[in-house]
Amino acid sequence: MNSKSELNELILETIDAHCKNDAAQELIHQALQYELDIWNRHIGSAEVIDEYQRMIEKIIKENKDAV
Amino acid sequence: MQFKISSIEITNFRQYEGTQEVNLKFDKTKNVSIIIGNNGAGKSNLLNAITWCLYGIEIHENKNVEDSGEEMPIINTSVLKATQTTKQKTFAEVTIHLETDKGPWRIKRRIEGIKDATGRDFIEDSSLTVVHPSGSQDIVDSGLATQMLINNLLPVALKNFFFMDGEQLQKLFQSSTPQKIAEAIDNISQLDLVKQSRLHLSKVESALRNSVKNTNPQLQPVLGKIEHIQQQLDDNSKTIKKIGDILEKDNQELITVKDYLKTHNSSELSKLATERDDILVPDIARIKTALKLKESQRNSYLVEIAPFILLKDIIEDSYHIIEEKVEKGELPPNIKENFIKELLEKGSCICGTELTPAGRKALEVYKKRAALSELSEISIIGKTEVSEILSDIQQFPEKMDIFNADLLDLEKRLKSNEMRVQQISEILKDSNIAEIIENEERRDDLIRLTGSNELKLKMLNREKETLDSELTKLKAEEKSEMTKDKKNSALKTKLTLVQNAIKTLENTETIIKTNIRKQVEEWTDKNFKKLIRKTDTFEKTTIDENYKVKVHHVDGYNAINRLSAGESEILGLAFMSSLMKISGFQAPVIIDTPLGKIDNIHTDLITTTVPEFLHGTQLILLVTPKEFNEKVKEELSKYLLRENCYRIVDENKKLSKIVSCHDNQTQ
Repeated sequence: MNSKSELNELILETIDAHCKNDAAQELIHQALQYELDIWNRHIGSAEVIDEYQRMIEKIIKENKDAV
Repeated sequence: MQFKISSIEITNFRQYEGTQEVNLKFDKTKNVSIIIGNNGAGKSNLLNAITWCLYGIEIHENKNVEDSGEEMPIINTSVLKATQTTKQKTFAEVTIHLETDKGPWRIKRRIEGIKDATGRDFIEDSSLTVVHPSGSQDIVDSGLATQMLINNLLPVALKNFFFMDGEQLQKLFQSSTPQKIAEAIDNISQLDLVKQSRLHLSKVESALRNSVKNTNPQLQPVLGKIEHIQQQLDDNSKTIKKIGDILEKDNQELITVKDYLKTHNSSELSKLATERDDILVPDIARIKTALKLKESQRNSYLVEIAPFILLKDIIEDSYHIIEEKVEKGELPPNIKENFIKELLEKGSCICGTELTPAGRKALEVYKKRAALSELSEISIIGKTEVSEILSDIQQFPEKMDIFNADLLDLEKRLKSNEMRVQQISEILKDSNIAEIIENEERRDDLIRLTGSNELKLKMLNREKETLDSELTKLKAEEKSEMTKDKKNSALKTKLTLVQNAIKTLENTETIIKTNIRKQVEEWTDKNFKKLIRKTDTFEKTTIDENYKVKVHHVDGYNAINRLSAGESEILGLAFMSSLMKISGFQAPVIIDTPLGKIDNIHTDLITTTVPEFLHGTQLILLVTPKEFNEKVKEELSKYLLRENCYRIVDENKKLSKIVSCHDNQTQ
């Protein structure tokens, strides 16, 4: 996966343009970055879900007003 | 990551016996490499060797059939046959050297075979080894995760857009359903990250939904119970206050009453009044009655005893006489007076004997004696009674003394009581005893009332304690439920956030796919127009929202099923080229037999236009000698490096060698 490709840029632009909720936008960005980090790596489902939970927790703490 | 193939080493793979090597040089403008081979010489298996090395997959498996009709084994047949013993292993191996923008890679896939006890060939699973740079050193990877490294260079899903077959290109739109076109567009959309994110977020959503369900708050019922208990406590407090007020008032009054009674020495006066009214006065009445009774008894006694006292001497004499007569036996036996009286009156006996005068006289005597005999009997009885009478007479003085003493005692008590009454009345004459008594009664009432109310208060306070305890428990429960409620609320917030993100990702997928479809449509149209000979025949190429590809003829109809073989291949090439471009991956493009069924005009177009619109991309064409005719060779010369031309020499279809065109020509 080429993260710098035009398609990825387009995906991010589309997300930003269609997501009015800052917290949700932040969550998507972090989720995509995390998926890129673990791409093609053997990570257990439980570990991935835990990471997502931490991500959500952190975003809610940091974006109390935006949630 | 951009990459190019710098060399391919094929050892014992299919019809390639021993090691065959293809080395490719790079040049920005001369990006085309040519490998020439007759049909069946091994062009497709060269392509297969590349995809097998990279992905463990051969694109053209159906072409591996020998003349005998048997399937050509992956390890070269001659090599397999040369294996004599069960201990001797043989192998096939393909090694590809890549040049990437991060340094050289070496990818090797090897498969080993051995003869089993029955002499049959047993082929093991292939193994992949990748040597790639990491920082200043090379890393050797092998094992399950190694394939991931290749997928990072070019995902397996995209391989068909880079490594293709001219014949398949030609049939692409004849055999592909809109779903396959959609799948192809989906593959290049690179939405894998988005899809993975959505998949993982969906799992989180599911977990959160369960958690929200499990923390469904029970706060309302608890609050209801608290309200009920608090209402009970309010009522209880009101009652406690009401009774407390009454108690306080009564206690105040009690103090006042007690003060009054204390001030008025009420205790003493009351005792005197009680003594007089409750003891002395009734006692006086009783004594008076007793006196009357006693006097009456004494008088009755006197009346009874008086005659005996007066006749005392006579009685005593009579007693002595009778006593003497009795002792002497002078008293006649007891004769029935009635019998004598009846005989005298009748004058005859029952036997009929007439009563004689002498008899009569005798009877008269007996009659008197009978009277006397009665007296005798009476006397005998009277002897006892008289004795008693005499005893009574003797006791008279003593009895009278007792009577008199009793009467005197009663009179004394009466007098004493009357004097005490008078004395008390004298003491009480200046006191308002009625008021004191009234106060005393009020005091007693108040003591009873306050006692009762204190008991009620005690019970109410005990009830209050129970309610307080219950309220404490409920408050703890409320706190717990509030925590749950907060947790529930926090979970709902998370759930909403995750759902928003999922929705956005879904929308993004749809938008991106639509966008990619439009880009593919645009580039396919553009490429088709560049490559097609009949530029005025076809108005445009479109891919609609249902992924149906249409070639719009100027006359208004969809010409996709009326295209010639060459036109169909050009459309496929245009479509694949657009997918390659849009995918963003910069990998070599290898086309097997690209010009086979294309007419001369289109061959010209392809050989001149394709290298140009794949500018900067390594293009390896596997062509037949017929395809690589002089004209094509000439047209491709400006894109082809001399060193990048190879020829597959097939001694027979089971044994091929790859040699440089230059060497071949030299030879």
